[in-house]
Amino acid sequence: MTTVSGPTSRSYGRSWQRNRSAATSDREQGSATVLVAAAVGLVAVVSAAVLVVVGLVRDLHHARGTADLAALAAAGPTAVGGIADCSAGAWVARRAGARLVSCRTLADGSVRVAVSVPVQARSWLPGVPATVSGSARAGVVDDSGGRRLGSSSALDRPVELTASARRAGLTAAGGA
Amino acid sequence: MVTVELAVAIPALVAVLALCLAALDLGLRQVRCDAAARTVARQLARGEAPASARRDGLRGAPDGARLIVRREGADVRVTVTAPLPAVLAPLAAVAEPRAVAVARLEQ
Repeated sequence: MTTVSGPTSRSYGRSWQRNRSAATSDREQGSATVLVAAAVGLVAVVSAAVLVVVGLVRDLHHARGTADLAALAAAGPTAVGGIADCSAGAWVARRAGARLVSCRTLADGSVRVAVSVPVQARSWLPGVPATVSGSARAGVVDDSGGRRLGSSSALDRPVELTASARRAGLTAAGGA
Repeated sequence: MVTVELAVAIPALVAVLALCLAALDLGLRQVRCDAAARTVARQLARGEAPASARRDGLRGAPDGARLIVRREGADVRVTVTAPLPAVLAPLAAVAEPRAVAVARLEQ
């Protein structure tokens, strides 16, 4: 456009530019919508996946906490010289929306339980289990405060979540 | 024209993003409710004072969380409910974050 001179040429140039810009606009019409729709879709898919993971974390957390309370309930009678009461553990687990899957007394008199919790975030993501489980150990601990009941966190190092997601379900493992 | 399209579409993107972040917040609130319910149930089962159990439980709970403690025979049942994130609050279909913990009272 810089080489053209004279009023006629300039007006021709302007009109050419206008036509060109109209043509460009026609060609690009809708492109932003497509781009943004793609971005919205991407955000939605990614966040759906994130939500499934968050739901899984919540269920794992619940399973671990419920296992803790169920183990304490089962180990309750051992604090007063009785034997472990697994039915109490099963009851506590059931009231909290979980199911007691194992309960056994270890050699040191502590009780180890595992509970399973149905995963609420049903999903299309592969590898998401139908239930997650948590386990905990509880027993009598002797400390400065005298004999009292303790669970995984008091008996061993704090309960840790294992990262292994198996087909059977995720495991929230306490100490051995 | 493209500018007009963007002007309409970008708020839609922002809205979707806001919903997703709110849903993430909801999940985190549920985890915190769960932890709070468990803390209170455990402390009450051990025979701690209700006031200190409540205080310890609500320390980690979301703002505005409500605590319901009920004694059921030999058990104590604690329900913690928290308000929805502000973005999700107008949606009737979304349930408030809620967690239940049950503990057997120690002799």
